[in-house]
Amino acid sequence: MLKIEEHSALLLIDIQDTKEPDHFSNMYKTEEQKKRREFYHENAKKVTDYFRKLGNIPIIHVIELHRDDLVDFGRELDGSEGVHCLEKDSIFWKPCAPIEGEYVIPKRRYSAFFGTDLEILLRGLKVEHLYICGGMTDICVHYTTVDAHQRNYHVHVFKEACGTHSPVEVAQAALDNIEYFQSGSIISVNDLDA
Amino acid sequence: MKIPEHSALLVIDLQAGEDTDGIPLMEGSTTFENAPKIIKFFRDHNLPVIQVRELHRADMSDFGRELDGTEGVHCLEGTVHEQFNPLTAPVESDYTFYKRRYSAFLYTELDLLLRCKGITTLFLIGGLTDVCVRFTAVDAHQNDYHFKVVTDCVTGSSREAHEFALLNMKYLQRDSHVTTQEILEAEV
Repeated sequence: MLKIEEHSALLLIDIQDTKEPDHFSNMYKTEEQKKRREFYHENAKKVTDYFRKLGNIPIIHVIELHRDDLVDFGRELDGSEGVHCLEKDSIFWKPCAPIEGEYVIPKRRYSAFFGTDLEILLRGLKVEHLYICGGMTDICVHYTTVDAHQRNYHVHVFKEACGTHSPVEVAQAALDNIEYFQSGSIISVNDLDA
Repeated sequence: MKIPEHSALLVIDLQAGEDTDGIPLMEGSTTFENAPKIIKFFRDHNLPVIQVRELHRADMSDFGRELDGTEGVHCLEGTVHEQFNPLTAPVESDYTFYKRRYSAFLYTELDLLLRCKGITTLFLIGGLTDVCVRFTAVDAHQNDYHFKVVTDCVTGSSREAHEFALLNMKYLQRDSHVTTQEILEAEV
């Protein structure tokens, strides 16, 4: 059973959807990839419900948004990803969407710390431990987690509640790297009591 | 290959000492064989060479969470490990700075230096592929720089972690892999 540390927050990274149905299909192309997306979303929902029930832990929702005129993509289109997360098309995935009393942080880059007020919020909330779910495991989750680590936060990553369209072994390599820099930081949804 | 205009070489954490200083290292690294050649190439063509080293205070006050994982105490000030490696040590025309964290951008003057010099492409060599090199590449990328990682002049914590980190960098920028040979034969 998992003990949630004092001075904790739950950070949900890019658990989002598109207004137009199926726009994520340019990343999650195959049935297998779509199933993996559903699987991690369902697990993120479990974690969110668990923390909401606890009631006393801040919940922070991060959403990636890019301006519709593409001005803020920087180098993000120089690699594997196409145009993504346009403001006109982006919404939270409904089952985990923020409710009253929860915090929302929009971001333009992979790391939720980059060019955002996340750190100001964490300091205000006196947070020392971040419980993390979201996507994509090998990019935004990985880089947000290392930025938290480099800023002295303890990190706890729910492995089943993180997902990616990348191959399974690539996702595992990202989790292994997180475990490399903080031992014991990869945790399981199954350790939450019912 | 042509070296893009406004390029600089960033040498990451090639520091002194006979032992591995609390850091796991993969077998078969060619970093110290290739790094002097690449550094010489950049200097010979009057392209900026920037060298960063990781330093931690002797009283260990600045480690943050860095000792909560696989790495032991490393890069302490006052030990041989604080120095640049003699095989690749900076000369007067190189720029040098230090860092306390994995990313060479975090809490350092690197971004300011690059802006002042008008640099838009960073060539990366050094270690570790899966830690300081990768997270420096990620921050370069997020700061809108082009980066090129010299795949046979970076060393990972293990061969597997090294390969996955290279793959991860290619995911970010599809043309980011170069080899020592390609640089030495490049047009400037």
